Amino acid sequence: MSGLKKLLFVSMMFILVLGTLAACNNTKETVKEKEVDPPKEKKEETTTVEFWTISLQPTFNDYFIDLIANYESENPGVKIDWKDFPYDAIQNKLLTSIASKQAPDVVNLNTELASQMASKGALTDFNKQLTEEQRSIYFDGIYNSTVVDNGAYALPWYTGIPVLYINTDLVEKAGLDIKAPPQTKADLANWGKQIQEKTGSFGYVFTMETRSILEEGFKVAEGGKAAFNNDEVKAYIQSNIELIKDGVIPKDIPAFAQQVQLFGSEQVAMMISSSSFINQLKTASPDVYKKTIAVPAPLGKAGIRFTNSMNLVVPNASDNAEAATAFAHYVTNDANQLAFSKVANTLPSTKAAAKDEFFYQNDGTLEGQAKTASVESLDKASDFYLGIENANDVNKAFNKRLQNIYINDQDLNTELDAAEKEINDILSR
Amino acid sequence: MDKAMKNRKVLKAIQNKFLIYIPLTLFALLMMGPFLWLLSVSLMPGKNVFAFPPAIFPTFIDFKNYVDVWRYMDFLKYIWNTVIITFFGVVFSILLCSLTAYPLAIFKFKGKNIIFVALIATMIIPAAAGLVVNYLTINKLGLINTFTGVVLPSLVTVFNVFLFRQAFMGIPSDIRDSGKMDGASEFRIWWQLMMPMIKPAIAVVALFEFMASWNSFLWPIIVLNTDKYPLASALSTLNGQFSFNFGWIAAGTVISVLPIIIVFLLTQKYFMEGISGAIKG
Repeated sequence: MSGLKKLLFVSMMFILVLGTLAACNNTKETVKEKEVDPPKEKKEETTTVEFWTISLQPTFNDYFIDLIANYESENPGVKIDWKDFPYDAIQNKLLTSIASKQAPDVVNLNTELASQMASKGALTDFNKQLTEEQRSIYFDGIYNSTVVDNGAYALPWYTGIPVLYINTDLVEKAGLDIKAPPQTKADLANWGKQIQEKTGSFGYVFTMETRSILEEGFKVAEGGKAAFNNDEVKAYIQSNIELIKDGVIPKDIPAFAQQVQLFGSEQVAMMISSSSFINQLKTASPDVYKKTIAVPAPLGKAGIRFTNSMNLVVPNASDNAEAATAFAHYVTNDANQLAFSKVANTLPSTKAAAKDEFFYQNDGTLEGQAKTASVESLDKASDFYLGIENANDVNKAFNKRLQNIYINDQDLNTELDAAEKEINDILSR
Repeated sequence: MDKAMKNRKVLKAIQNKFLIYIPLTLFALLMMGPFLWLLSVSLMPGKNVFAFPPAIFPTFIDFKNYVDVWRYMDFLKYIWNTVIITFFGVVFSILLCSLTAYPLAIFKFKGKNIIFVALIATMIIPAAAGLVVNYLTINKLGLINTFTGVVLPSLVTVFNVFLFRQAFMGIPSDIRDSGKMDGASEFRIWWQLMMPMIKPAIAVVALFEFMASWNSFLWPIIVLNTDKYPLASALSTLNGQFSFNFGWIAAGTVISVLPIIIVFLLTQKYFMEGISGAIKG
């Protein structure tokens, strides 16, 4: 008995100590709750807009507290209730809260999730909610990224265009001139080959996704049918298989974290990625960060670069769709996007904001280089999007087949035949 | 002559020890490798995390990552959340599971075996399958974004009931009879006579539940809002686009596993007894 008592005693003490430690913290919280409570009770007069973001707390607390305070003072009667969730949680949270009729009003989603929700009919159509003038502030390419059947279901927010990161050490060792970086995907492959031969490191990371096919100017689907099962696409895929065989492209790397690891451990010399990569490299591998430069990403035959945008959407299940739309437009307007870009080092998705000189000032850091290297092609860019219904399913099915070919050494012809059949099935739904 | 013999014996003993300890040490290092790597990464800010070969032992020690991550995240709040979830999870789990197991082990009534087999059968159902049902139930009960909603679904687990049942069955029936002779109620027999006899089993369940609650990740994310997250879920906020810092993740993880190690060291003795008891029973 005494042993158990002792154990109980120790654990109670542990809890007691922690309790007192956290007590001051707790009181603060209750005070905060009390402050928030009264406006909720007077629901007849004030509208509360629940605003969800992805992983922006606490880094950008100052920016959002200011933004929300300004909005609330300009729009008396509207209260913004800002909540932030980790990326892994947002989709689960959103679906479950819509199902339980407690939907948030404005939600931050990436284009893939937004398109998926839109094709299921869960989002408000901004083409109906906003005027022509209000819609015209965004870059057309990015705004049209979530268009399904003439409805636009997401307002573009902060965005990024992938740039090419080069490990200068490895490239110089391979005898290549850093002042004339690769312009096309073909140049990139040649650089990769030379790096592999001279240094033994991998040349560059290739993501093996559906977008690689689009970047070469091939179509995935056309007229409601799969359009990729032809000799040109096969020849292109075959050329990548050769590069993997020669050790120019590492095998087995569909996950972003693994790509960062390869670049950070100097096993690969070049990598195409968005600016969020810089932060990971800087904190995980500061020595490699110092010898890395950023240049505009080499183009495929199609000559397009895809953005990775974050959007704001308004679920159909929202109780205050009008107030929500107004707030979503406010957050993504020129002035607020520009201010956010400055604190977060991202690109804006509105035309006027992108003209600001901030984006053309290169302070010599890797962040500055990536910024100026990416802003130039912003007006021509669009988010990766297939422009068809169930785009997400098509994308996933095709990605899986491509990985089978590249990673699991499956036969090119059988896999593409299977992919064609699978995608035709999805499209005919 | 005698001395030389002794010396040789000692030498041989040392040699034997070496032969045993070297592979054991290597094996321990291999098993602890990932954790040691995490620890040394967290202690060496500014060093390449992905350097090859991985640094198992830190070459210098700097607590900058710990200080930074402590400032960045409200650790005390998350630790407090975790402590509440863990405390209620452990205490009520022990009470309810042992109350369920007691009649199944001691009483004689019709259908006892059917009930027990039915309970065991539910162990086949994977935990993930219960996610949706649990969510709908918790939602209907109005327990979304409450700690009760987090703890409730996992309070009675079949495995713990099974463990307690085996422990109760190992107690001679004379104990219960003597309690009856003295006029104790069934409830009092359970609490004052039986529970003290199965201390090792209680310790095992307490430890299992402690680890499970302390590490719970997915369910709290689904049920709670960010400010009520326990530690494991809160650590996922370090994985954001703008806040990613491997040193911080490593430091945060080390902070979050320390309590588990402390609790294990405290209950280690019972843990070993309980496990062997459960297997023998």
